[in-house]
Amino acid sequence: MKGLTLSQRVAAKTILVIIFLFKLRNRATRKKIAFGIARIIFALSPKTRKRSINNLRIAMPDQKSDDRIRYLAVTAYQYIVFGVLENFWFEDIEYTFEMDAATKALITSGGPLSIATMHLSCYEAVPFALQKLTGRVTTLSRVPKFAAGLHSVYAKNGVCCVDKSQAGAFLALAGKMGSNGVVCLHSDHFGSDTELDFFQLQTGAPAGPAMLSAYAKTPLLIAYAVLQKDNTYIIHIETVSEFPIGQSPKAFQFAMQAIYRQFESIILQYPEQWCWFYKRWR
Amino acid sequence: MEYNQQLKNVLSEILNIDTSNFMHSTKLLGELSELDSMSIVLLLIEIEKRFSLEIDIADLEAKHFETFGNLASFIKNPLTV
Repeated sequence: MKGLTLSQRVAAKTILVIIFLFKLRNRATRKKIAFGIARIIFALSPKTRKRSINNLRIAMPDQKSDDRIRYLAVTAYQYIVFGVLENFWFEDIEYTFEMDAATKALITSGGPLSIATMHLSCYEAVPFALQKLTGRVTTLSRVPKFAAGLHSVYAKNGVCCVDKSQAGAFLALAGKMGSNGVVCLHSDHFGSDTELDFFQLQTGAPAGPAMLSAYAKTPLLIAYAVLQKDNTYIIHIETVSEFPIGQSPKAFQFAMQAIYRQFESIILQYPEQWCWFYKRWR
Repeated sequence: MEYNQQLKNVLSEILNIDTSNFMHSTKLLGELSELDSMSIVLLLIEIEKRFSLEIDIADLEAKHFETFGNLASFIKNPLTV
């Protein structure tokens, strides 16, 4: 915990204690506790509630039931909070992959891959599970100093995590592709690389997966984790393009728009598991 | 055209900045706000075209973009396939 302020050290230790206490219970109990805590936090966070509800109304303009909207807002918050905690005991998680034969051939080919991921339930389950399958996953994250334990979670699961705040982070990711790496980048958040439609609103989006596919000349895929009723995960992997994306901003935008169309479909299929409380449309 | 001048032209076109005063020590990465991930990719693509290179991306490092001099050396030296 070198280089941390006192309050950061206290926060870091608190997180470790909380995780320790959770791990004393089985997963089903951990889920119940996490859902309970998340419900309380959500109830005490009017800005988060308002943002979640506004975002749900953007994505589901035809949904007339306020009760349904409120249910989805709080449930999604619970899934995300539990999903973040699950990173700390990923070794306890059961999961299966779901992908078609062509995608499986790409994944097992040993070649570099660019994968767009999304904030659905335990969203780091994707790189962690892919690491077990391929042994060569890199991701990008901005881990706050007080949550230094999170960085060790990536290391524990064998995933190389590039610090998003470092200058030249993109070059580090490109370098990994050059070593046949599988680079997983969360792509459903706001970004300034490109403009596209997301639930019929123009918004900014990152284009990292498309840019990496273009420059490193790799296939482009998407992947996401869905928590099942039996508390196992299905890691879905789908091919967006088995051929590299074209090398122009227009090609990047076209590819990311295709990805976002797929994101829309996935989010509407699993609305109780997506991160609605994030400030997505700016 | 001389390497450095060509590189300045590429930087100027891609980043839409004035590079006429660029020297070897001119800092790039972390200093130029225009040098984000999108412009880095477009720069690399354009550099490969203009200088007829194929860069081995496994050798790409942030230090190559730290200064104008580093970038110029990176292009001149055989970090290519």
